[in-house]
Amino acid sequence: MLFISNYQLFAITFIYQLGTTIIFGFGSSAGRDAWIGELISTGVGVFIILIYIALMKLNPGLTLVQWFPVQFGRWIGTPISFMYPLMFIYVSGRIIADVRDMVATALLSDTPYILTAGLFAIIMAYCAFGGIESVSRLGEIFLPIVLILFGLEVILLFGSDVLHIHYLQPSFEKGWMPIQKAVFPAGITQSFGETLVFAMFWTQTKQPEKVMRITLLATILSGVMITCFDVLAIMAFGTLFSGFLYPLYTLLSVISVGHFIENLQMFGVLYFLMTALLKCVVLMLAAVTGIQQITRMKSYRVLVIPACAIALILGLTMSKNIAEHIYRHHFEILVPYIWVPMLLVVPGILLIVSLLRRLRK
Amino acid sequence: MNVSERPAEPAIVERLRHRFGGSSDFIVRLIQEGPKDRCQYAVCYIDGLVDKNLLAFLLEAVVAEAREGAGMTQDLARSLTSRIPVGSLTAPESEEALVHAILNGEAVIVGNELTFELSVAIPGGPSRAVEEPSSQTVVRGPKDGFTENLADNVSLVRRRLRTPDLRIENRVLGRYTRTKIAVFYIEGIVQPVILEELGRRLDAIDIDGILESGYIEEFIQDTSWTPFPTIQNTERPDTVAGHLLEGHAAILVDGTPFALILPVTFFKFFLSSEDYYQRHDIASFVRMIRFIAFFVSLLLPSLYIAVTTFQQEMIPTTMLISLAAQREGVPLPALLEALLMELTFEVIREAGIRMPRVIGPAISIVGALVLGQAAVQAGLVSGAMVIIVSFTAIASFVIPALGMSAAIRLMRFLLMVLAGSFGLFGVLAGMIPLLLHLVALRSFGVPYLLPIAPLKWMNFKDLFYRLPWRTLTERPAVIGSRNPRRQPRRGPKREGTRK
Repeated sequence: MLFISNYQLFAITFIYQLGTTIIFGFGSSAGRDAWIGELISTGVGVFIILIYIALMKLNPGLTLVQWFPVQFGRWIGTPISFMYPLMFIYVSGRIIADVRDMVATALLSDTPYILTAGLFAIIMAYCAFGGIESVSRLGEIFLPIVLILFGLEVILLFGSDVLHIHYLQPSFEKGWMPIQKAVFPAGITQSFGETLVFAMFWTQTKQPEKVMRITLLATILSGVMITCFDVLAIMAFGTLFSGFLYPLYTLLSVISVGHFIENLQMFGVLYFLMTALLKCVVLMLAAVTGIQQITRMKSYRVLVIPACAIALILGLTMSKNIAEHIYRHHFEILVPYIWVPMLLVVPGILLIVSLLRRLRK
Repeated sequence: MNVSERPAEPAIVERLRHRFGGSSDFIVRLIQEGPKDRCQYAVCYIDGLVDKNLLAFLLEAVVAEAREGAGMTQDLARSLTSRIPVGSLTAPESEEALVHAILNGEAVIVGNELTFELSVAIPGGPSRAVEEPSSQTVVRGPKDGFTENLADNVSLVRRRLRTPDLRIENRVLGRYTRTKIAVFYIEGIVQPVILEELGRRLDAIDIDGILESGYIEEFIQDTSWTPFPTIQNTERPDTVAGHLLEGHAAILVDGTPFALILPVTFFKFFLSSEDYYQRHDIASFVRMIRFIAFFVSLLLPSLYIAVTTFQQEMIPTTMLISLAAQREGVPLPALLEALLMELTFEVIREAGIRMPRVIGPAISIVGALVLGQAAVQAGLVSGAMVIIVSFTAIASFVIPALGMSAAIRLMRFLLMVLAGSFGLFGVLAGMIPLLLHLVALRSFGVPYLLPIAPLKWMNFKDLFYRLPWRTLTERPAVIGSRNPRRQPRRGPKREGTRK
């Protein structure tokens, strides 16, 4: 039996939630009110995660894919639970596509996509082979690096004299609508709703009774950290912020201390790649262990390479460019037709069913 | 005495002669005194495995017994044993045991009228004096190092740990070499699980010969598929004693000065025993230098390649111009240039180890002048690359454990190739699997990256820095957790400092 310690759970949850949000920034559609939107999303996100944890407590000892057959019966439950591993593979394919575009834009403009994305997929497969115990230790090592780099970034930004506090004014320029649009449904499903993936691993923690506190703490902290990034980006760019594809990457490029510490955005990319990789590996592991548990296979390891290959092919083919990838697939397909039903509606129904069953007994 | 008068040897001696096949170093000394055929002894030993002085004492005693003791007492064996002044006495039961006793440096006394054979341990033979260890030197600290002689090595450790709780378990491994190995541990500190596992792994070894502790290391390590050492080796008895006190076990092997210490974690390879003898602040500074040197030696060439090949915009402009000017006439891409220089350095290094000592200065002149300066002047490599490669090389020597710096060297080449193909993304793509590999490694069940992952705050007292001894009240967690208390916990201030 593998075990994840409290600190490890905190680390991987935190980094998972930073995941790709840290690349794309949050809610840029809300303009200079994006940070308010992020704070509200964190609040709602905490509530959603409470639902997931309630589900875990109502189904003790069971993972995400085992909840549905138990509560809905075998014939309805199994197909539903099969949807989740497929969604995880799809989302990890999306992250590969994110990385593909990110690397091409920022680091290697001439290298073919298949090489960069392929290398990323190989690393992902290697990590997935290592299993959740190794990955959680990896997260444990990443966490201090992520925090230290964040601290350095803030210090350097203040040192570069590019932040203008008045850019944050005026708040609520266009009323609540832009914020509301950013928060629902994209803001709360992105990273907070996605935390549902950890339901696959909560059963393997050393102290399951502490899962709630740790996950909520990680959620609030990651929400605060993304808010900080948003605030910094808005203070540096004002409303221009909405136009950037990679606002936080652009933010790093304005750092200039003594004309010597400059062009740090490369390190930023590495930093984003680290969090994206961990998120991708967690998703991949959840997918393969999910399929293994549904089909009652002995080991998930045979699934790793096919699953990573599928994710790679998805990542290479799902969109032609970053604009299509983000504005069309993410906001028009993924969020309304996949995430909302699977991360909000189905767990909601499951909660009602589980509660009703509990009351009957 | 002429051949025809030669008395009949005891039957067992015949069999022993046959067993040793007439080897020239198998000696049988016949002792015949007193009335003819009345009392006859034979002393069998291997010349070169016994101590000559002790042998003289032994023979003297046997001769005296043959001359005087004959017929005096009924109990021959008792009167003989009481005369022998040296060595521990045993009576091997079987012929096989007799053979092994002789091979272990014992002299076997057989007699016509003795009902059993008597074996006297007088091991000797050539051995090196205790000298300063050549591979791990310190400025401050004991200067004695292990030798090839197991008995001497055992005494070096025992002298540092005068406690009955220090346990030494002997084993014999190797069908032909019959190498003696000794497992050291301190009862009450070491974890029984580790000893059990160690016993199981040692039991599984069945090979014709063990010539060095490296054989055993390879047999008992958790996995062979890693460049990183999961068992530490040392020539220093104080290092062994220090580790035993922290709950590790040690294995000493006859015939080599390198002792094995296990289980061991990644960070142990960056510590030197001197860290504990120097003032804590100095020692901490030196330790941090070592960790920086680790990153330099692992990453510097690959970062240089990545930045100069793919991410030039990261270099400040003035520096970029000077670098570009240097590289102007260089025909090779940065990756090949770096690989060429690194490989050249590896060749010089290896030559430095293998060549006869007398030729040393010639090699250093060729290495330093021809390959360094002349290569730059000829425009084959850039000056910056020479600086990078030589600094990397020097940094790799800062790491106290040779096995670890060898592993880092290997990884460096991998990272350089990745950096040359994918730039910084390649470096990251190399580092993450490397980290994952380290995180998944175990040494006798102990996670390799121990105090970092899984995190144990307590062990940070003695990791990147060393706090003063006064504050190191506990043994490191996990390995030393069976008996955590090292010294009583004191208050923040020493008594008497408050006025």
